[in-house]
Amino acid sequence: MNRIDQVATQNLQDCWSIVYKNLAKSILQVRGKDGEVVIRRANHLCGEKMGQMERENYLKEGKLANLQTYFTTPVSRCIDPRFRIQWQLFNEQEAVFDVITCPIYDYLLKTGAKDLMISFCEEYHHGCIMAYTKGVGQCTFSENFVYMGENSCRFGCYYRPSNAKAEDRPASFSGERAQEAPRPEAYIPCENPQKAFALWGEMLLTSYMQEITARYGEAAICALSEGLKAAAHETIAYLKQRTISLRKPLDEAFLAEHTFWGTQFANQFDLPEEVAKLIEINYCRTLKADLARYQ
Amino acid sequence: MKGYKLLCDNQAQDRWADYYLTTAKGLGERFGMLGRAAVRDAIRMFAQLQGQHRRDFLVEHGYKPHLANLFGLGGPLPCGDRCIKEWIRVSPQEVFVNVAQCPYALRWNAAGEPEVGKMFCEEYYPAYVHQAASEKAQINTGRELVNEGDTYCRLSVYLRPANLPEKQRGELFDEFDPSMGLPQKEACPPQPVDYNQWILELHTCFVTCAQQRLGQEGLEWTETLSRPFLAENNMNNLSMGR
Repeated sequence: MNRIDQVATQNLQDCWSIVYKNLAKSILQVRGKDGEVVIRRANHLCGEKMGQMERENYLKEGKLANLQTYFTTPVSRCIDPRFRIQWQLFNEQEAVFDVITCPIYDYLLKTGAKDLMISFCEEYHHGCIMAYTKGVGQCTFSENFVYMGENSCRFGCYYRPSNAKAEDRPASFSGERAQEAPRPEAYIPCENPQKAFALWGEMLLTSYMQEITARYGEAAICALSEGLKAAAHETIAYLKQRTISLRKPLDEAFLAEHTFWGTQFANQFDLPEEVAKLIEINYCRTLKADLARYQ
Repeated sequence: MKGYKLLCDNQAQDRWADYYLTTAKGLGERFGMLGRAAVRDAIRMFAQLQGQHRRDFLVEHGYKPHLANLFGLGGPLPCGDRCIKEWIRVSPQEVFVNVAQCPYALRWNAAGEPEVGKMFCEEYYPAYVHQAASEKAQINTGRELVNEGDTYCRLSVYLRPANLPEKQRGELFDEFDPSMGLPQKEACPPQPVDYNQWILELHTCFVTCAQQRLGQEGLEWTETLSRPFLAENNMNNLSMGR
């Protein structure tokens, strides 16, 4: 059972899932089967950006950039409390665990888009761990509850000092051998969930922009505009339901707390102007217009 | 459709597993992390060699080296009746398989050295599939018999055409190859596995990598560790009239 103070984080996660779902769907609608190339590459790239950023965060803080740190103290990431994880092995070099419930999957399943989960899981996590370990780790994803007959996802992440470059070892490992570590907390509160989800959303969008432009040229970005508009429509309809269960009105204040871009885009991570505009025009304004209709 | 069975020399298989364990453990114990790094290098080199053999075999017989063909008889999993497999999904793009019993793990666990065994599984399968099929494949060994608490190995391998360059798609998948006729009806014949040969090949990899990482001392130590196995191998080969 989750607490009331965790609800905003859950909604932010769902708003992120909505953005992912609609960007991917829109690309498939416009580009057909070939769009899968962009979706997979962009998901991988988004993971690489996140993994790279987390590594830099830890090094800046003087922490060891290994798997134990990655799973116990997320800095740029915010972990939705609805993730239920059963740990099997956990230390600096190994993180082996089963994901029993996953809110992204649950949302996609509920809205008939569970197939989009496969390309996300297969690419994103791999990108994260490979960038985080500077290309020498492994992120293995051997079971996936998207498939019939599976009831959990199994991840195995490995980062071995013997595979790392000699100059990277001191920054990542406390020794050659790793002792089993205490399991990460089931719920790791984040300082600023909105900021974390906004960052993740922007990483996702910029990755999609990079990959779609590389494959089809700049004109193809219109698929992303459509995706963002559709995401905003779906977000309002979804949050309307949430306001009912929370017994709160659906208004600007609610959106400011429960969405990460809101009705007015604050460019807090200094995105290039064209990306900021893309979000403002297609997502924030649609959200605002829809809000007026719902009120 | 022809039904094939792959004959497996269990004794030679055990000898190979023992050879790996002795040499890998010996290098790790004597040289610490550098020794283990040499072991991992050697496993990857050995896997690339086997992966290339597999790819060549499939292409020679007119089969695409996609995942379904790759994991056919003579593929990366151990051969023989002692390797108990449960195939969950087998297609050109995906192979999911549980290994309920593995002759290598039996040997390594019985010797009380699951960690040395784990190094093999961690490095072997990714390097093998990357070489045999494509470096864009993802190889996931999430559960392992050599992991404490796991009761089976789970191998999930993905190879998505969407991640491949156009040219490679045609090389790997029938549906992307315009020159391809009707799909083959016959299963690919089994590729024999010779574990005596494997000992020699793995030995070469150990020697090469030990020398690169550890210098002359590493080379000599590897030779010392390997000597009894190579001697036995020679005797077996002689008695079999090779």
